[in-house]
Amino acid sequence: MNELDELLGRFGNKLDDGLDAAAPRAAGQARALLIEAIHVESTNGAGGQRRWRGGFPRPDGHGVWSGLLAIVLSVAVTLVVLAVALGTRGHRASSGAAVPSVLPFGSSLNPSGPTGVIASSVRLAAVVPDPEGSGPAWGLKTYRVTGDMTCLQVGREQSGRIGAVGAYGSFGDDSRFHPFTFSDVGFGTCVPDDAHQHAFDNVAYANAPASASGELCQTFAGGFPPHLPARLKARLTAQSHAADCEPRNQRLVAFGLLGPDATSVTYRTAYGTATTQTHGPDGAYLIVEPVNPAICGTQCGYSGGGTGTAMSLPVGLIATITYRDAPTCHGPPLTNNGLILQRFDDCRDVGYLAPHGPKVTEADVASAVHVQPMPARYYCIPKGIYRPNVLRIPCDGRVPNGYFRITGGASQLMVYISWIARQPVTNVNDSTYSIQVANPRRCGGGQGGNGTQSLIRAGTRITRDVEVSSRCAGTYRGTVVYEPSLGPAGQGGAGLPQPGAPGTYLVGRFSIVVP
Amino acid sequence: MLFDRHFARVHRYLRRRLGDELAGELAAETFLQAFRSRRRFTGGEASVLAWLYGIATNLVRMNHRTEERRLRAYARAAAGLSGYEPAIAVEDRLDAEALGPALALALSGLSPALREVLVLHAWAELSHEEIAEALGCSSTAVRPRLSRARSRLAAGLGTPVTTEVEER
Repeated sequence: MNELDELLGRFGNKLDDGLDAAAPRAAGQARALLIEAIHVESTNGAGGQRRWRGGFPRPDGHGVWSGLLAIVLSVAVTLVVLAVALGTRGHRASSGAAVPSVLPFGSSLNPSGPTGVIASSVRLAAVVPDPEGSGPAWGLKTYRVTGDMTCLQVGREQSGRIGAVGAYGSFGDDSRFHPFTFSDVGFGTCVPDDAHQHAFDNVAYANAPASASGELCQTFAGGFPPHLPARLKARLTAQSHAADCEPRNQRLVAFGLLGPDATSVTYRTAYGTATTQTHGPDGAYLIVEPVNPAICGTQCGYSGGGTGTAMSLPVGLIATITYRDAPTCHGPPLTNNGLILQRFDDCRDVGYLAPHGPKVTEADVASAVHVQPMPARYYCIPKGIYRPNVLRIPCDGRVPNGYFRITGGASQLMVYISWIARQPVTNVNDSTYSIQVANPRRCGGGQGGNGTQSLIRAGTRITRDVEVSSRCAGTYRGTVVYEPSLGPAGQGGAGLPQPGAPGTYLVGRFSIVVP
Repeated sequence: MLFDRHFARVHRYLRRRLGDELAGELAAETFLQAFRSRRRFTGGEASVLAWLYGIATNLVRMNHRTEERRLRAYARAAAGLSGYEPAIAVEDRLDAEALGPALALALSGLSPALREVLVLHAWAELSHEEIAEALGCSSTAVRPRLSRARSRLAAGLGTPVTTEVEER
């Protein structure tokens, strides 16, 4: 740490004054909320999630909960620990919380996975002029990538290429066009395709940098400080590709794919409404407007926005969507509370067809499940950024080169579970093989597990690790289930698939005996 | 338990950034979101905390104006109490007590993106790799961003911009 870091650390300590008194109260409230959420999810199906797939056996009737609630409260928090600590060790690009779905400028599309662009699918789907008449037009490019996904790349368009411009404070105002590679989706994102290989997605930014650099603007009230030397300002913006957050250096940018049946989108502007036709087989649209305080509300002046999934649409911006053979849908009225995306009650997934799961039966996925206990006092994992599908290994003796020892091993027994994946996983977001392990009743019940969340070829042997408590003897019973892709992007429920739940197939059962 | 192990740290981090009232609410929301997205959690046990900080940071991002207002208010209040004088040479007041108002002001002037990388390092004590995990970017992107953040902070404090050289 350098001197600044130390100063900041001490400054943080000063801000902690009185924390000791506040923390227990906050922890109590948070714990209550968490338990309530788990209770709601387990009884109602995760409040809008597709279905219950969490770690508790589903009760036969809601009334059961009233009697068992006290037991559940203690088990429920344990579930969180198990679900997270055992965790699904998945593909980084499919992470929900830690990895934003909008990739920053210069990032790689899928650095740890076998993603490739299908050349014949590359399409300049929509081009619109800059609303201030400044610089190249804006473009939306779409392309399919392996794994049944479609990417949306948005930025300034020049000779069919999408990129950012060195202007509006970005790239040191070098006046050059900075083309994106396929890995640089700018404000865009990548989403799974439906059964007809159409993608559905919506993205909106109330305050996107006018340069299209795809990076958040630098927030200084009223722009950069006036005393900042021009050369330093140029150097800073050149390094970060990002401009300041003055409205003149920003645009409202919204785009998406509404499906093959969508024909037009009517949206609100500062002066009324405007209508744009959709383009191409996926119903692409692109809206670029000046920053509109009526829409961005309190968010004006900084870079905000987000990605929707399937038919989550920018509230306040989209007024209506027309379809060829379906009723026109209407968005909610302007709320002036920021450009948020949510599902419109009036708009259904018109034209969306859930990907067909492979025509399989459980006999087609059944496989012997092998169990290999790996008893040890300590376990190790590789150093550096977590890579998917890495097994934790016993390391009681010397820690192998490139590994580090993880804590908590003393009370845990690591067990390797392996089976043959007889059916492929072609969509990392919504398809998976999952392991569930149920604790013996006298050990408190509850379940934990692990999942694949990576592309898998049929016939591959899969090995995953799971933990059970080495301090509670008994028989831990488990299952491996296969779940093909279901539903539009982001519609998957939380938790692990339950055997017997719709759309899941039992691969095999196993048991682990802890002496 | 995950909640018991990490709640205090996540809550302290949020409290430093947003104050008591929001911190309690957002700490709860952090663990709720963690629970709801547990299936998509990509890391092992070692990265659970980084993952939680990532969720918390996303929540702070939605409240960055509150954070900036809070920092500016802190600066005003602390300046009033300590007789803070911005014209005093920075070498004469290189301690957190004296620099509190200036630090608060300088932090409030940073972009949310730079501020979060700085406090994840200095307050949450995350490594570059863990910050990358938390923010969903590559660790190679963290280093220059952290360097820029320090430069901006140093500029805001009136110190020479030398941290970039130190980072390389």
